[in-house]
Amino acid sequence: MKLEFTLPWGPISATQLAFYCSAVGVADPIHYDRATVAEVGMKDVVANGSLRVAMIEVAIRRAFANHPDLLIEKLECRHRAPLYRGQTARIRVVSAAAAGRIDCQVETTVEDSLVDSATAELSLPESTLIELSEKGLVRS
Amino acid sequence: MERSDNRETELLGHEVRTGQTTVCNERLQLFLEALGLSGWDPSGPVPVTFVPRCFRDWVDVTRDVRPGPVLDGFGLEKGVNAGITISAKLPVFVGDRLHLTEKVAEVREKEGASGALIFVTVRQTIRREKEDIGIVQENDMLTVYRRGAEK
Repeated sequence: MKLEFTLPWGPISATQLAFYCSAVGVADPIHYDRATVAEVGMKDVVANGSLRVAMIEVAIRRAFANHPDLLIEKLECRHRAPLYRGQTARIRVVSAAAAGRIDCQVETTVEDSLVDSATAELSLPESTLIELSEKGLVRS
Repeated sequence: MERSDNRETELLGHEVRTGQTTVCNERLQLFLEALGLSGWDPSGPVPVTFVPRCFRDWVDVTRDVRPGPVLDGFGLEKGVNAGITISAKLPVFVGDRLHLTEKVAEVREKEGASGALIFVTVRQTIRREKEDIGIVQENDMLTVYRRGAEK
């Protein structure tokens, strides 16, 4: 049995990209300087790969009501296409639970085009699984 | 091919950086704010994607800050982030003292239509101080470079 959750993200703003760069210490101007991206022939500033992965973690955690016991044991993400300022993305999490483990397939799309694909392996204490199951957030 | 094989040998195992830091709530809150999150319990585990970000300093992007490439000196042109794999064994909390080692773990070369593409995986190994189990998190970051100027 599978459960699905979708997190809308965007439109992605220049403010968010610049603020994220400042917050995590990324100084590459392709994420915030439109003059630089014009020089290198890109159509706009792009979201950081690490920001995209962080938003995937946000979507996974939201899918499980931000439960503090949730441990993401493995998260593997591949970027398939750039994600530009002004675009609106949808992060779709499909999860399946069995024997104290939850496996997730995650896709980030923009207008049905895939920009990120990811898989995640999660673990939760049995008591938490039961609690989330009672809330309808996990089905095994 | 001989030359690129030698270059790959030079890159493999190259230590990109090491560091240590204390997971700080102020930085966590900035990270969460950048993601548009509120209401995160600071006494609980921090997001796994935040952990490697603890080792960077604040950058004022209104200033002209343009550092060199991570693998400066290896004749690679600016790379494109192709993906990341995070493996976490234990949760990390605000106040934890962490140690980072960052090394080139894998190098692959492919011939593209416009020249050689170099796929470099940098592995970040993050340990918690005084932690018997050792590693709390490993992150493999895959970046695709083009062959650039001679070293």
